[in-house]
Formats: sequence, C-alpha cells, structure tokens
Amino acid sequence: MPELGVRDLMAVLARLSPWCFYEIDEIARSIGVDVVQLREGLETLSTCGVAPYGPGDCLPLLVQGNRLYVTGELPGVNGPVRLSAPEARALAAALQSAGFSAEDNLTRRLLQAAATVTFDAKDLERTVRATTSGHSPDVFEALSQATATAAVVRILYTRAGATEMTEREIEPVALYAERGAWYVTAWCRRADDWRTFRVDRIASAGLTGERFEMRSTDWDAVGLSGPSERFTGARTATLRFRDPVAFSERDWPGASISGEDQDGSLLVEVPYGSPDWIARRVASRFGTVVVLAPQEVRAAVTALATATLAEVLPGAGTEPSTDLG
Amino acid sequence: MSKALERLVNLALFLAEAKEPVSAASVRAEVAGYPPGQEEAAFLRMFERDKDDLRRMGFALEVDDDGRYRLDTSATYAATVDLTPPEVAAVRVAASALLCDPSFPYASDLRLALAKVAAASGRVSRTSALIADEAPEQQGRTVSILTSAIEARKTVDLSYENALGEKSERAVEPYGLFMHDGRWYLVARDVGKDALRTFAVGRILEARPNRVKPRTPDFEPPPGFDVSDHVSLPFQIGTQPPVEALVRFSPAAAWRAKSVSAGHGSLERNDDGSVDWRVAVVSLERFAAFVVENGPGLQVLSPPAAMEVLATGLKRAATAHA
Repeated sequence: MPELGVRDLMAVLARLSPWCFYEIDEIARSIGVDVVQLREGLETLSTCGVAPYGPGDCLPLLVQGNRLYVTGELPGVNGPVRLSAPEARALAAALQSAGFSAEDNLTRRLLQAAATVTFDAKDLERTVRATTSGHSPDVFEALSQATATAAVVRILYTRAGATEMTEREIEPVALYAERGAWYVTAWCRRADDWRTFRVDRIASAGLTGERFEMRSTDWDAVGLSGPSERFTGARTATLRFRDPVAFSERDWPGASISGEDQDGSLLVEVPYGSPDWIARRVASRFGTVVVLAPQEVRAAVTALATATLAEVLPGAGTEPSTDLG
Repeated sequence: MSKALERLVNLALFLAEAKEPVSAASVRAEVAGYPPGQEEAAFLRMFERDKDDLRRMGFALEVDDDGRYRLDTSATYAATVDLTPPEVAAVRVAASALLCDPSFPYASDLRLALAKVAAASGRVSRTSALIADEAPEQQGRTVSILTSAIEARKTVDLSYENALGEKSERAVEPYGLFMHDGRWYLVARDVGKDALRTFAVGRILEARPNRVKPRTPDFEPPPGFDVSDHVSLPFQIGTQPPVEALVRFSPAAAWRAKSVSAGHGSLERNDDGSVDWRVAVVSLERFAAFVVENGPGLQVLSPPAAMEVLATGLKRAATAHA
C-alpha cells in the first residue's frame, strides 16, 4: 500500500461537505490508502487553519473512531482542485485503456472540467497509447454500471469463431483487463453457468432494469481467483508443433509441453473451452500445428479450413490437396 | 510528514483565503509551520519547495511583478462535471483495475486523480488488470521513467537486449510509448544510428535519463510526431515494401471491423451493410493467418498474391487434419 501523502489528504479534504460525517475506512478503500495512516493524517488536518489559529480558525474536522465529522463550513477550499498534468495523464491513460479516446465525450468533458488548463488529452495520445482492445465505450459503461449495482444486462455476443450473434441475459460480477483485452465474468442465464465474455465481442449491452442476487462469493469456484483462470478449459487437446520454436506458452494459455516427437516436433497439451476457438487458431497456423487428438477438434479444423476457403476465396478449390501437406 | 503537511495545508488555506496578492514576508508572518528565527535564505528555500509542492497538487500559483503571490482560483478549482452513473462506474472500474496493475506506469498519479474526481463512496466493482503480462513490474517502472524523459525531452541511455539475446548500449531520444498485445514499446531516435527505432520495453535492461540540466530539453521531437503511426499489426512488421490489401467484412461481421482494424488503414461501409477495409500489408503469410484467426466473416478481395497464400495455407491445414 502506498505511503499517504499531502496530496491524498488535500484531495480528500476537497471532497468533504460541511455538516456531514464519513466512514474513514470507506474513504481509505475508495482511494487505496492505509486506513491507520489516513486517520492520523485527518487528525493532523484538523489542527490546520489560518492565523490566528483559534478554535474558529482551524479546519472543522473531528475524528472519532472510524468516523470523520465535518462540524462546519470548510474555509477557503472551493471544491476539488484540478488534476495536475501527471494526474490528468494518468486518468487519460486509464480511460484510454478502457476504450475511451481523447475524442470520446466522457474523456473530453471530464478532463475539460477537472484537469489543469494546460493539459491536452490529444497531445498525450500523440506520445502515449495505452489503448487495449477496441470495444465500444457504451458497452464498457453499461457493464461497469451493472457490476457496481448488481444489474442484469442483455448482451448481443459473438463467440470467437462463431458467425451468429446470440442474445443473452447475464449477471456480471467482475471486469478484468488482461494483455490488451477486457473481459467480463458473469452468470449467463442462457448457459445457466458462469461464463467469461470478451468485451470486444459484445456488440451491444443494455441494462434490463432487473437486479440480481449474487449467486456465489466463492470466487475460486467461479474461476475468479485470477484472470488467467478463465483459460483453464475443461478439455485438453494434443497439438504437434512442427517447429518447436513456434510454440510459446503466451500464445497458448495454460498449455504444457508433454513430449517431443522423433522428428523433433513438440507435443503440447492445450486446454480449450470451445472446439471452434482452438480449431481457428490451429487452422491459422496453416499446417505447421496439427491436432493429434481429440477427433472432434481435428474434424473442426478440417471443416473450418474448408469453409473458410470457400468464404474467403469464393470459387477456389475446396478439396484438400495432397501435394502440399 | 505531519509538520510539512500542516505547513502546506496552512499555506494552501492562507492563499485560498487571501483577498489580495500576498508577499513572501506575509506568508512567513501569517502561516504557522515556518520555524521562528529561521534565516531568510533557509525560509525562502523552504517556501520555494512548498510552492512547487502546491503546484504539483494542482494549485495554480501566480506571481506578479512585485513578487507577490495569488491563487488563480479558476485554474485551481475543477468545474463541476455532471457524469451519468454509468460514466462514473466506467471511470471507477478502469481506474481501480489499473491502480493495482504493476504494469500500469502511472498508478500513483491515478490514485490521486481518482481521489479528486470519483472518490465518492459506493460499491467498488470487482475488477483487476494486467495490461502487460511479462515482467509487469519492470515494464511499469521503465515506462514511468521513459514518460518523464519524453515530457522533459531528455536523452536516455539504454542497456538493451535484442530478440537474439545480444546486449548493446544505446543513447536514444525518446518520442513516444505504446502498448500492443500486452507489451509496452518505446519509439525513439537511436542517436548512434541516426534512425527511428521501436524498442520492446521488456527488453530494456536499464534506462538512465540524462540528469544534467533537468529543465533544459536535449532535443525536439520531429514535427507532427504521432506514436500511433508506429503501432503495427502483426503483418505490418518487416523490411519489404508494403502492398495494399482489401478485406471485406460481411454484414454480420461488420460491427467488428473497427476493433479488428484497430485504427489501421481505412474502413468504408457498403450499401449492403458490409465494410471494406484497405490496409497496408508487409508479410502476406502473417496477413493470411490474421484473416483466418479473426474470422469468420472476413473475405480477401485483393491482392491476388495474398489470396494465393491464403488458399495454399488453408489447404495445408485441411490436408494435415484429413
């Protein structure tokens, strides 16, 4: 946990309203600082003020246990101080990585109102691009709102490798960013099970107005103990890499090397959820990666290669050739 | 911290309350926390540091010709912005995920930004991030150092290890940073080679910015520099001259065109709802693999050489599984 600084306290101070009380642990959690340090810092704040530093000149703050009471008008602080350039940069970069560019309405309004007047989000984009996946900002907003308020969302989703969009009602519980993409983990009412969806494969998301009860808080069981968990499919395929150097675990999450063939090929066990997903990845390796088992994935690769050939190149021969293998 | 904290807060309140510009002498007399009997030079140094600290916090301190200070309140205080609940939720999800991501280089500033714009209590969503998955701490730390150097326009000495494991020392002028497929990259001019290069941040063993004259820039970036011009799709990397390819997204797949193209090339919608994507291609093999991996619903219309590579590859895949 980072050391509490003057900047944190000034930021907290600027957000307090007169004649209100706050739970100190909630403030600490919301800005990610240590609660003990925060309480000490707030006690120090309560001794600050303006000359002659009489009782009426100090900040009207009172710390009692976990409560912070604001016992009067706060002098001189007219609301939140604008974001400094590094703070605005950090916020703009975070928004960028959530799919909001400098031109998006949210980024523009927020930074215009809150950031130091010298900050220009477009200038930042010319030097730093933290952009990850290209999902729609509207979808991200709806999912964020839904996870925060336990709201049911209706999504139009296209599974990797599938042609058809499916409409699903989901109960989203978590949003993750990993390696350039955002994912939402939710109870899917259509599948009647937990599912993780890639946000950039969701064409639209809208709140239905219904709230849901959390079905589990046993996050390990849901597969939420870590983002990588979702790659652990129930089934495993055995793949042969003709060129051992072409295999990287980063490209095949959760894969493990099981052996080496006599000709130097690498044998790898790869977990998978849907045969379509793994078949598409194998087909795109154009024969340098071959599925040895199970048969359902082998068949999926053949079907996909044949169908893609017809789709990508209408009129091209669809018969598998024997002279190229 | 508490003494410095008290003094800074007192100074901020004093400046905020002052009706007229104030002199350093009145700050010394009125603001509690400056040690009594302190020598003039020591006081001025302390006051100088405090002013810098306040400016870093976002206080817009102005100094007039007589050396008196006033707070520019419109530049200091944020205007109110009415965000919808989904917008607030989106900001909080993105920010709180990245706060704990060691590969996100601006976490400490983000924390302060979040405290200023969205610290209101409420349920925090379950969220996390790991935008760069390999050596995230090293990448986050190095990007943070490089960002400062880009802003201050200071040259950086890099110890770099290339993909072949060869180590080298290079002096570079850093211009921009981008994130691609879970890795941070630096675009910089390699001073020794006098050429623009892209470096994988994960391969930078050490980055040492020039600390001489920190406020004086060492270089100017090329006019109109835009880091996004240097972000490539996997099939755009290589030394051969690029060719233009035309890919058509079927009407059913058209909504994915924006995310698949990721800002590269041009997109044009057709009357039947399909979308045409014109994009520069360097490696036909990688391009063909990209089309298959991002299907279904993508059709290559040109160039013929790319169609041939694709057909041959797919036939190979089918044969190997027949």
